[in-house]
Amino acid sequence: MKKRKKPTDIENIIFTTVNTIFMICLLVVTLYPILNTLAVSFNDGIDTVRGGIYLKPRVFTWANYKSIFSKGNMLTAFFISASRTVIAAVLNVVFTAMVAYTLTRKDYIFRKFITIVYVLTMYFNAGMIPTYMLIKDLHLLNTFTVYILPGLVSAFDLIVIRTFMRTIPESLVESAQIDGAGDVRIFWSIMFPLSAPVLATIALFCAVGAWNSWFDTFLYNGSSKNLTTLQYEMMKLLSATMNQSGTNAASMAARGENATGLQTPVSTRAAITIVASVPILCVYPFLQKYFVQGMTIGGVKE
Amino acid sequence: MKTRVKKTTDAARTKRGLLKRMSLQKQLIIMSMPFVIHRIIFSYIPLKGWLMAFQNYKPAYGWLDQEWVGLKWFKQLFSDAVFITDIRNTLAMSFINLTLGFVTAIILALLLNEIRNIYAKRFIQTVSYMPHFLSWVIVAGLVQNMLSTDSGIVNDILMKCGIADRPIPFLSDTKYFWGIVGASNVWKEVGWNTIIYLAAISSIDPSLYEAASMDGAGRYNKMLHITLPGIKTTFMMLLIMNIGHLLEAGFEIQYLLGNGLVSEVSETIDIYVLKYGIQLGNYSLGTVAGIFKSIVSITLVFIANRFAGNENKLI
Amino acid sequence: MKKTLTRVVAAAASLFVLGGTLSGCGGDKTDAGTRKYSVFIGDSTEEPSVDNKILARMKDELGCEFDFEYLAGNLDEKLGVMIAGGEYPDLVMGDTRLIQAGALIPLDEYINETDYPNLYKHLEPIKKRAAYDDGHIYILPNYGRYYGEKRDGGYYGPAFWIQKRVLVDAGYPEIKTLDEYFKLIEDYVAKNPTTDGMPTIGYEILTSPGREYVMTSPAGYLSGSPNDGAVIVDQKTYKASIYADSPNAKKYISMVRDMNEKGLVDPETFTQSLDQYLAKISSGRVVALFDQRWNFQTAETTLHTMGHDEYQYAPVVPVLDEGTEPWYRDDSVVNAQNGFGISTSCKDPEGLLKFLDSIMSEEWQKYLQWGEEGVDYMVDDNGMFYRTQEQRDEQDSPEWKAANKINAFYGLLPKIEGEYSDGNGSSAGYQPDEYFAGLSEYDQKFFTSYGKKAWIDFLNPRRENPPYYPAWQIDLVDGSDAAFANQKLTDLAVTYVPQMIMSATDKDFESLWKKYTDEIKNTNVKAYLDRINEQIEWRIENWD
Repeated sequence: MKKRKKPTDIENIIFTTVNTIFMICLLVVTLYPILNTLAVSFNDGIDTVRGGIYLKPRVFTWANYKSIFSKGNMLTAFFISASRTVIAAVLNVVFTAMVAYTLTRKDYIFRKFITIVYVLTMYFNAGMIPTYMLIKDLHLLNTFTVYILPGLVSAFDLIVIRTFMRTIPESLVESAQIDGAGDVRIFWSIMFPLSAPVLATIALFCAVGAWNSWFDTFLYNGSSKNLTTLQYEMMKLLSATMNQSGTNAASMAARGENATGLQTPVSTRAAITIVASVPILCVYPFLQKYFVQGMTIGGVKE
Repeated sequence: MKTRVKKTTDAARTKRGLLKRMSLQKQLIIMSMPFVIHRIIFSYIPLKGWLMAFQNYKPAYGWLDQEWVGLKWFKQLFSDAVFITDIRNTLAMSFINLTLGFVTAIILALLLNEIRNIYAKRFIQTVSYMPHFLSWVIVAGLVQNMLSTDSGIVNDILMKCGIADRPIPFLSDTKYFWGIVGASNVWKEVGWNTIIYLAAISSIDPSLYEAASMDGAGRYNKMLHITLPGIKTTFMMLLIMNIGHLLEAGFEIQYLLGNGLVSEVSETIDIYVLKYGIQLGNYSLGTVAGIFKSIVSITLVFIANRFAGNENKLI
Repeated sequence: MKKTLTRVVAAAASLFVLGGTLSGCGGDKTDAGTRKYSVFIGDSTEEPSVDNKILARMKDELGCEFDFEYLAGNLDEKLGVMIAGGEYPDLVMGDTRLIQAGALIPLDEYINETDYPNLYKHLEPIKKRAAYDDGHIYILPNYGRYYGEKRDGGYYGPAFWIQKRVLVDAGYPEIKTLDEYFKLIEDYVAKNPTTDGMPTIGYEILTSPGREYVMTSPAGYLSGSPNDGAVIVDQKTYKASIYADSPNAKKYISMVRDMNEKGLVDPETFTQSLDQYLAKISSGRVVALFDQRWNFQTAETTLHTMGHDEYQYAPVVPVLDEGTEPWYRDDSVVNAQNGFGISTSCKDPEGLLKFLDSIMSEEWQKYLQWGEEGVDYMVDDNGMFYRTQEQRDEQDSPEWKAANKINAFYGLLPKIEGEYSDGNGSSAGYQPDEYFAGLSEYDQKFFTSYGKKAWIDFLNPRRENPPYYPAWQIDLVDGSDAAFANQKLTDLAVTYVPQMIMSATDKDFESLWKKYTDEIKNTNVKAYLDRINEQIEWRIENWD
């Protein structure tokens, strides 16, 4: 026994050392952009134009954040964003898992049909105008529903959950069937809880997707002040730092007004990034507890 | 002849069987069909917009009140040498992204899984997925600053180490562009891409590891022979799905980092559509490019699906 | 686990319903007395804060409230769905696409002297230039209608720029040709290889998307043509032709190439983003560049803040051949098809026009441009407006502007430019004394040494605009061959011009030039020029 253990010990030490070094490098490489963005966001905008800000602000200021929050309806926007994120994540996970469960039943007659209907949607896009017209015809313009309804049960999520559910031993389903359980019951009390890790993953994908999307607000709800999302408001500020239309800027300058409007694009952009991403970054650590090894199969192996 | 007769009787039999099976699978149908109808409404009905490809579409008029131009836009698109180059660039960059993306995400997931300290593990994981939330504008800005020939950090290091004797013009040399795009993508997305593998790893049966330890397997061996096979299904599933996205290489990073000196390798299909379609109000041209991408994608997916093993089939 | 989940689902479902009702009450509620209009601003500049002073006064005194929608993404996409949907905000940023879709009402049919005296007076002298192809006015031009004498001191248009320190160092020379200009740069860099410890950069060119004009348009000005975009218009026959493949363009490119060989062009110049470009200018290392001033103004502000006025720029208007008259500075032009239009969805166009008419009164214009008397500006004994230094500084603060200005909205509204009937300039930029007082000490000394009074004195003398001017404003019509060709020409320039400038040998340069001009020949330039010429003819026939 002892003889066999020795080489693995050495192997372990080498492995751990190499792994630790690698992880430190990874931390440096991925933390840098974040810290840099943070530093720039706290640096005076005019000073930032000179460049050369790395890890700490040269001329500290709160002004970039203040100018973002002076825009008024940020609180409503945050509430709308948070609601759509939670609702989208929960409904998507439940419904997608439900459809995915039916696809794991090999004898289900519509299995192939449903799969094809969904899979194809991943590879075509009808285009912006036709989709807009559909939303308009369904009277979903300027509603909160438009944030949730069109995206319910997406093909990618469906395939991912289905693939995971297939790894759950079929014997569990069979024994439940013998006990007289129907499909709804089998899904809800066996398959759903057993798929926790993948459902947590999908919940995260949906939440991040919902939180980050702004294009639907732009197309469908742009004129409803109390339905705009945080990302949309941020996007507006962001485009203000990107495109100053030439003709108007020149004319404004001639009048002695400040032509460039937002004078401090780089710093404002950084502050926008921080405001828009910090809330959603906090979600992941909470979901991580579902990624603990062995909580599924091991747990049900009687 | 014989087979045909047989088929009809089969059909008749299955028809009766179908109704019976449907009633048996009532619950399954209720659980899935409403969503299928929902998906058909939201994804398939707007497809009538593909008619635009054959029209000189003006948004002010209805679908059928447009001027019909036949295949004019198809001809225009495919006779433009720039568009053909853009297809090549898109394929190349998306292939690089696909390969690098898979390899790095899997390696990182395996290594993360080997970290014993749960807090360190969670911390690293959280940090590594943060760049996903930075917009491309910010990432491109950082890349440009780092690769600058004018006191950029990469050139500084290369010169200090004596690898280069003068700054390398990374962003103006065509041979570096695809690599830079690939690396930027990895940097931004690697942490994010590992999430799904970590979920897969967490459903591997722990008793497998115990058994391997009993046999004296080291961590390296366990990783290679238990963890890696454990995520194979996930990998295959993602691979087949992503093969269909080979004509999607994104456009933001290429648009932001591209410039006249490298445009022959930097432009993608989406940039072409942006410049000649959206910005010029030519919706028809964009639709033609979209149809082309869809046809290629669906063909690729069906081919990939055909060659996939039975347990990995997408459809 | 199951229990919590059930609860979460229930909570989600109830929120979902709540969301539905929440959206239900999102329509316009109008209190009795005030009218509420939706406004689309297709530009993303600063937004006013909720407690904005001007908007509050508009509500109190004019009874008008506004629901603004500012652009968050791509204007082309937004207009596309707006037109397809056929429903528009009441007051909408004008665009020829909206006119072509029949989305705007013909304002000339509404505006008359009795109901809207201010608007009538405003439009009367410019009504031909403001009209669309069909002779109707759909959009109220936001700039270019001058009252009284036009007195401007600053210059924000195109020029070759050179740092003031270079001119001071060379003893205040007058630069006439590009040769002299480049020579000046070369000599200065030879004498001062570093600036604040960093290498001095001789010449900078920007090529980032949307700013291609920095690279492509110099050849036009160097040939003595005014700002006509990508064409030179013969001033006798009024026929337009492109100059991208002209001998003068070739000469400019090859001269820049010579500069590059001498190491005077920034090696990074063709790969940098707008941010990097501005950062370099802000560092004070860039000796010279061609651009329109509004584009790099941010960087100049930074230089001023850092106390480096000598690194700021003075305009130079060189030409290629000595005999050519420079024509960089043009006379003001009506900003046609830019500004607001009233949409066909608006239920109360008269009310909106009433509002527009009210704000065109001198009282409102002074309030909008100068601010509140005693708070935002002062009046001296002669009745002239001026600002204290503190008041001037306020104008630059983003937070102050959000609460006290409505620049994004006002930028698109029609406005009085020039002077008011009491002799005051329409805004601070048009008040000569205020303008000079706003200059730094360095600039005042610089002017005195040069024997000049304002930046415009550095440019060509004012010349009357040609009857069709300006060609760059011509709408190429979406989806047309002309628009396609125009985009293609820009793309070709962006690809080939940098390669030519960086080319190592004369042979490479020549073969690239040949490839470039061949590609131009393969492009449908005719479609582009036909559209331009057709519009030039139309303008000559219909304007004035």
